[in-house]
Amino acid sequence: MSKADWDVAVVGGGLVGAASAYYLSKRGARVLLLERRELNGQASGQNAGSLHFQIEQRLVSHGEAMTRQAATILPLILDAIERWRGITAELGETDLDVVQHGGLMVAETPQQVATLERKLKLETQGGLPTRIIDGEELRSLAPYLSNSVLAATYCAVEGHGNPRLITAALARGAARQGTAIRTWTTVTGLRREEGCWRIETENSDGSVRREYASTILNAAGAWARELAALAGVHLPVFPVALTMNATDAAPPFIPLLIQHVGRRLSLKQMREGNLLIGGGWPSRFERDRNGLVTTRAAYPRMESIYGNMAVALDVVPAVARRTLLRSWTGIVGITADQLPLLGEVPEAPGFFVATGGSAFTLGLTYAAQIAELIDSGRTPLDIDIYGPRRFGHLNAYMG
Amino acid sequence: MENSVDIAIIGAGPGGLAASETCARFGASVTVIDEQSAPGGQIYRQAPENLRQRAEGFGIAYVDGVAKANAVASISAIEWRLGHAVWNVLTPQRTQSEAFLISTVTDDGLSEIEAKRVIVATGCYDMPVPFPGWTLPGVMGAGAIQALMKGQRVVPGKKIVLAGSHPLLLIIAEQMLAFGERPAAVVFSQPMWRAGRLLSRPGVAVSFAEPLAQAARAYAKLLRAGVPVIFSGAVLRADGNDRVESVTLAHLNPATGLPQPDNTREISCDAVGIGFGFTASSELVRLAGAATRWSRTGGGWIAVHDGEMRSTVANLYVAGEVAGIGGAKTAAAEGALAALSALRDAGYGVDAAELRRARSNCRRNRAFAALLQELADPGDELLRALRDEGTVICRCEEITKGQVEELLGQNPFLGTSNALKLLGRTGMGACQGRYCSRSVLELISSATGRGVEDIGQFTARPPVKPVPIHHFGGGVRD
Repeated sequence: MSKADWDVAVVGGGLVGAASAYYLSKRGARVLLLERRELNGQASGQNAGSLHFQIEQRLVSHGEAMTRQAATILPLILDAIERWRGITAELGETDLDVVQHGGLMVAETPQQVATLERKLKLETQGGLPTRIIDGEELRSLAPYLSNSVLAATYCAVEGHGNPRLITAALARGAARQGTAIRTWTTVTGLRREEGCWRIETENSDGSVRREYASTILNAAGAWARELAALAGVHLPVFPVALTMNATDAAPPFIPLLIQHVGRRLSLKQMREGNLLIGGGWPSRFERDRNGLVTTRAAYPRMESIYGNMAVALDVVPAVARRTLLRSWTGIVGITADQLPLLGEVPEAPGFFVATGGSAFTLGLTYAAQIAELIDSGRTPLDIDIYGPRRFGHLNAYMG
Repeated sequence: MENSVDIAIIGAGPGGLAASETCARFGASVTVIDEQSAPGGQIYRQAPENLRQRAEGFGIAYVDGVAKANAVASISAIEWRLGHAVWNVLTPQRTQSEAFLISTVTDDGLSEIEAKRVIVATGCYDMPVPFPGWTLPGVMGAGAIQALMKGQRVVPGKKIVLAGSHPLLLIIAEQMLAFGERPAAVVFSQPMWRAGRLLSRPGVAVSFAEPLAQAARAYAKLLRAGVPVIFSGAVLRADGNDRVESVTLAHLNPATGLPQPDNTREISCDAVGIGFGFTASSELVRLAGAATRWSRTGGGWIAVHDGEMRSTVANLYVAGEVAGIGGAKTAAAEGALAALSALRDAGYGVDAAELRRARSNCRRNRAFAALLQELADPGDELLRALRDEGTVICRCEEITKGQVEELLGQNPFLGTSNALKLLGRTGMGACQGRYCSRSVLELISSATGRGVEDIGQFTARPPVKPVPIHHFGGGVRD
């Protein structure tokens, strides 16, 4: 162990990586944060910034079994609610545009209302404070919603974080606590050697380095699978490209996060007045002879821009008075079973991973759990079901 | 695919017009798309019909250019989409079909054009140069003043100061005289001898006799009219309450070329036109994924091409200012060559001699363009010296130089234009970074020492021009 230059090498300079470096260095660990491009360059900075705590549309629209599975995530969500509430002060910042004024998940058909009710039951059982509202109460809470909205579930602690700001603030915090940050540095080799990990890196200026860490934390998001392969293990994390849109700035009129239970929509108003509109509309990767090109920016499909705007217009008619300023793509990593991937890889001792869907909303929580696991071997929340052990069958013959 | 045209040409300025004429001559199906309601681009911008008087005030080149544009417009084989702003271009690789998909927006809604090949001839805009007061109403680009004169037959002031380094300022001032307005001053940052030294190079004066004579005539006319033409000077700041009322003019140190703060004077004015050169409108080229390279004096990020106007994306061609600032004649020459390349790639029989002539025509014009770029170059040191801490860099989001520098100080890992945009909002507004990209590049470079290519540019995003969202409710027209 004495050979290790670092206690933990965190790979990936997104929200999860920066937050993990922050929590680990706060616990006194010697941390190296490696990023092959710039901090916050991918999904962490490109996502829509929703702090969505209600069970997601994509999880409740794929049958009962998945919906129940999704409910197992509620303890993480409850943790995330508190972490976001405290993060600005914790980092000694004055304003990271973290807003938790509440959120609505709207329904436009009786069938969608039924889904809301089913979802509400799970949330109530899990301890998430959500309730159904409609009629006068809904209109007075959200007068900007169209008449097509029949009902909505309301969660008072939802809102948004600002994807532009949070990761940089976490990285500054980590650096203050001694984390060494190296950007434009690609990990080119990982090898277990004398009880620790040998890390080969290459900087964009061509310089190469070899150093040693007791522990590796894979926080590479959509690229977690490639990084794990360097360590000789399979992790089924797949890159998915999603479209986001921003309008010009408007005077404040939407204090809440708006989501849809049956259609793809997330909508919120940021501090500067712009509306961010998303909801899981696909972008496209370019393809070449090797398949998807995930290292270059994907691009929004026209159908996604049209479709997303159409839903937004249906739900919030005042969107018609805005102009579309910008559409772009964020590349997120999704696991084969859509659940978070959080823990040590049994087949590769000292190799940890923290990624999975909803890694903006849950990113601080993923990071805090994994930091504690690495540091103490235990976590306050039961995260066993999210561990890489569930994909052990993929690694039975690796090594 | 059945609906797709052989060649779509984006931009109906000199480059696009020459390209469209060439394509039509070969019998290719061609659609020309332009934001304006009449062809001609910026240089031959036309006024509405009821305002077309006094066109001769812009000189014979303008009258001829407009006539030529309208002659091309009458070619029945060309389909025109005027009043269409292009907001997205997807390559066949990205549409996963055989055709490019070009999305446009008009006053009435959205439409799409499919094309097997695309020629981008989107021109340029005034190079934005931030200095204290540059956001005051009445302070604008020199090209914008000319656009008002040509498009509306309006001279936007009675006491206009034209300042910068581009010889075009002489021509604009001369045109103002023709419209009965006498500019308050024309200010060049270069010392007077610089032009002379360039012109004394062997062959230059002979090869470029015509444009030189035009500039000399304009200069003489201004002097006769009593317009002060000042060399080695720069506008340090613009002041006024609701709009510009005066500028502070500094004399530049002859040795360093930088302003001497103790050698200034105030000039009263009601409008200012700043003309340090032009920036290529290369956003559609970038959006389509084609390579660009940095050209400090030639328009910023300009399209890389193979010498015959093929971009690095298959079947996407470039012509004119997007390939480097070069003026109307260069654009026309390159438009013709781009069309010949596209036609040849499409299987049309293009005569080798014609191709050779088109290539040499481009070369000749580019040689003049290079000379003009050198003559007009104000130097980065001067432009840097013009802005102070409080100067707004990003007009859309109102971010100052000081704020950018503070962010760069707090975040030592920040090293690209995109990262600064994300953290600091510079370039996130309606202009998509057209105003601030150059300043942002320089500020990051000063703070980090990183090279221009490493710092890069803002990723071009659709829509490159804002689209009113209510149009999305109405669907798409063909």
